[in-house]
Amino acid sequence: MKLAVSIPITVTLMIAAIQSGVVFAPTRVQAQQQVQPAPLAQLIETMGVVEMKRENGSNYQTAKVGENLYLGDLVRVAKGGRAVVRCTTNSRTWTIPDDKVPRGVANVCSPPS
Amino acid sequence: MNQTKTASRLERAVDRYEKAIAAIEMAGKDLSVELVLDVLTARNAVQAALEDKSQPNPGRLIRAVKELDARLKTQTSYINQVTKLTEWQAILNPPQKEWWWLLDPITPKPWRDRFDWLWRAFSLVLLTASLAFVADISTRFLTGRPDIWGVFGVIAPTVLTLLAGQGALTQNGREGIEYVLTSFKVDKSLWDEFICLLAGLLLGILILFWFSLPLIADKHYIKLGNEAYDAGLFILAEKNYNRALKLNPENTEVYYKLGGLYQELADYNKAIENYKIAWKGNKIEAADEIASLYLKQKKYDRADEWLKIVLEPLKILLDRTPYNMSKRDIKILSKLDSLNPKKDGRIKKFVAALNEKQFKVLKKQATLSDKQFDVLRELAYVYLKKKQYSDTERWLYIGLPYTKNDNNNKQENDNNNKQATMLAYQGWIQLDQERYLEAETPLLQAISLNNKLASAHCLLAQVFEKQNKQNDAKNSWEQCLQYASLYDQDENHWIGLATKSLKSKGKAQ
Repeated sequence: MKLAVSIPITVTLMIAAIQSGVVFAPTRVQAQQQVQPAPLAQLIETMGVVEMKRENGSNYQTAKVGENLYLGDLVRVAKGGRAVVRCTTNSRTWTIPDDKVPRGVANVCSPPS
Repeated sequence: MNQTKTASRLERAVDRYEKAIAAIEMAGKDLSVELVLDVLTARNAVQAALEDKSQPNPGRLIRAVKELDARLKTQTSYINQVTKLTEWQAILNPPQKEWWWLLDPITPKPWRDRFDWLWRAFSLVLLTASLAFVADISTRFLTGRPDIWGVFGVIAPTVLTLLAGQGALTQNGREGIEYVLTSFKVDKSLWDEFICLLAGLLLGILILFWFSLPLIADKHYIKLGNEAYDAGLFILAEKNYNRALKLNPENTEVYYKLGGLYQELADYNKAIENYKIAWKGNKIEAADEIASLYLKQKKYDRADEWLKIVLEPLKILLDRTPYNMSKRDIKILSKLDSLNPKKDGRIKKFVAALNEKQFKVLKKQATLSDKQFDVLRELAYVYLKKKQYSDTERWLYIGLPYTKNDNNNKQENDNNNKQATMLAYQGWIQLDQERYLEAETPLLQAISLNNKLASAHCLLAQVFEKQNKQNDAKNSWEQCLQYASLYDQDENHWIGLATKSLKSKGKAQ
């Protein structure tokens, strides 16, 4: 008899908890998502050889349109190429010069302190 | 004939009156009720004859009546011993003008009535004191537009005091009080004492109210001020804080809050003014704000002075040992944040009795607050840009050890920015002074503490470049570009240097 009563109560409490925003402990993936920093910018246009190096990466790799760029990431454009990034915070666009010199995303897209 | 008859009527009446009085005077202890009634009725006859206007009254007789009345009055006490005139009054119901029926018994005054003048004097003193309190309370509440509390605070004591004052000092008021006292059946002989008691009670109420003003300030006006401040209603917050100060000028916390409010409104002079009062009232953290505001106003000398005051305890920890502290040092060190400020008296004893080990622990635990660090960093930077390197070093002398403590005390990932920034400044001075080899160490240390610190990378790149370490310089420039921002004036400049240098290095390769 007791069991029959307590199960619906438990289920109701669980539903109420979920509805009111009380969630269970985050999974590992969720935890990782929480610590992931917000992107500073996004690559919105590329042409020719456009490469990027992540903050802790050791080599440059080809950059693709739509790629998110974070603090510490570098982008370089070979002669004749073109790359445009759009800053997340103020939507400012920045065309990276085609001199193969790396440019930090933070140079233009990190908000002023 | 008629004239003679009237004159003889008054004459007869006066004669009868005189005889009756003489009889009373002669009777002495044997005075009887009949004799008393004889004299009073004789006086009635005299009055009737006097009021007969059909003929003039001879002055001789009127004068005689006056003399006889005076003789009658001297007999009042004997008459009242023989009979109660009030009883005859009830029977005969004489008009008020027939005063001889209303001769008051002369009763001896109670002994305490001899001191009535003293009670009245006391009442006057108490009422004067009450008035002084009313004036003080009113001025506190009347600043600005009074609210409900203010209206109550002004009206209630004023009305009470005016009522009491009027009652004690004016004829109408006295009659009113007498009416009240009579209706409460208070013995007439106690009236002056009673009025004095009321005046004392009024003063007591006013004193109580006066002493509760700080409580009203703290519990009501500061709370209202805080609520208004939180809601962004700064004018209302200011009004309530000012009212709280009027009621309790000793509360330095309010000056601190007002300082914050004016700071929010960018009225820095007013903010500083209030913070200074708060600081004088032992609100130590107000000095941090003052230094910070002077810095905002670019008054670097003053900011420097105030930061010195703020960080004096930390400087004492660096410069002194437990054995060579002066009394002043002990007093200053007692203001250290890490020591509980509530036990000030005991802290001084504790500081005075510090041993070497405790002193070291204290030194290791001491840190700079964020506000203190910001002011110190900014001042060090200003001096650096002005090439006043000794002044920068003066602040790094304090900044370096205590930001290191910060790192020790906090968790590893809790941003080592403060210490890294101090080290970067140290390297920067050495770069400016062309001490390249020396500069490498603090800059590398800064990077090891905070790899994202653009300035350290950019400065280190320049140090490497000056030493012709091209590969190291290239790597450092790249890292400089990773974190530098165009929005920072120095970093903006360094971005230019970095791209130029990398471009030339790219061509060289």
